[in-house]
Amino acid sequence: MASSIFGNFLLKGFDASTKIDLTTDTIKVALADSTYTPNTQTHDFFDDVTNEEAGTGYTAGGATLATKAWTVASATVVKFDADDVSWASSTITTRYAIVYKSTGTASTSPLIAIIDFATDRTSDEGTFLISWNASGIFTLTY
Amino acid sequence: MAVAFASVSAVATATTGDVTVTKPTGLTVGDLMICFGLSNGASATFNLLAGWTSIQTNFIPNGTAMTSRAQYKIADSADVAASSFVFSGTSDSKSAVIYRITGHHPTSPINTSVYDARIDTANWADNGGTTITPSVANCLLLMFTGLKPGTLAISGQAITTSNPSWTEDFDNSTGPTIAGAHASRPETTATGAVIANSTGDATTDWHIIFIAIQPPIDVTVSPSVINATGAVLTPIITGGAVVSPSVINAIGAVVAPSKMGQADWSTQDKSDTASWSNLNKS
Repeated sequence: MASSIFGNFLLKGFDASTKIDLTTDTIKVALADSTYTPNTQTHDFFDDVTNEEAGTGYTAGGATLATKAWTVASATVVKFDADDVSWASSTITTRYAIVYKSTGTASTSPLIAIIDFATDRTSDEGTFLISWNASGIFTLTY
Repeated sequence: MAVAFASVSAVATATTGDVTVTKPTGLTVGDLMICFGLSNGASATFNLLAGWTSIQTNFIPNGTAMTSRAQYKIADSADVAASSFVFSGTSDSKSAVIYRITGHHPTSPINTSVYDARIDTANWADNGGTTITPSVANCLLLMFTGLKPGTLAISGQAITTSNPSWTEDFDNSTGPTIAGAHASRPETTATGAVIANSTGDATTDWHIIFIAIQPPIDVTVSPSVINATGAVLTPIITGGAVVSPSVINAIGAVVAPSKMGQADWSTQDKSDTASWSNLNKS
């Protein structure tokens, strides 16, 4: 599948009970292996994500994004960006990165976006680094 | 951090029995220690030290009977506290050294290795017996050579494919002749045959142990940005008319009550031109 935002990101983002503040909420990125079958239409909370990475150096739930920025990038684009994220001294084989709002409870943590690495990517006692695109993690064009 | 040669102990020799090798300088917990030893005798052995892992070993009875062994250990606190390491074997002459390597894979430092031997050979340049193919990039290559005792020297260490720049770390001709050299090589292609030259004798007997030490494997993922598009949908227009609906204004009105105060309104004149008056003047 191609990288995408989750449909429910917008749905939950505008829902008063699950609203998402991309700047102040705890936004995390988790890793899942290739046996996870993403569904950007029906998967809405983090408990829908299966086969999360469990390798050495990776903590369940993933890493918290720092220096988050949700900004108007141009006349027609808003952009979400954050610092690169990495797992040092890790042994990881993974296919997907899932961006989500963490409430501390998987069943109430709304999914935001999924990045498909296209193939398994592996670190072996080394650093697994996700270097976000210069244009951001995701954009919304209006 | 790249896997790198850090230091090597002084070459230790023994005419019989155990050989005691001093700790390489700067040894710290987590460093990789690699010992290369050579023993010369009709049934020579060079033993594996407790807690160490053998990389390659072989005994060749032909020519000058010799046994060589390479073994490794990830240094722990006891190793750091030690001043030397004692390697045993048969009561034959021995030579040994210990390398200190840093930046290596912390649990599986040896990527690949090979052993080979020749007798009565002036220089080593075989046709593939010593080739190795590292499976990851930027391995540190170690080339250990062991020759029969004599006033020999080894030089010109190289490989035949994508040859990097080699540094000879030691070259000892006291007792069994041993030499070692290292080089960093980014390629993961086969190295081709090892090349080394000996001087001091027309021909000699060779042991070669060739090792690739691997670094930790990093990965950097650079995903494309996800672009999501929001759109205002055009309404479907039927009947050929362009409908441009105005805004819907919801108006709130105060509804007039049915009575106002206590006034009682009525009419006296029922004619069409009747006028209204208030009979109750209250």
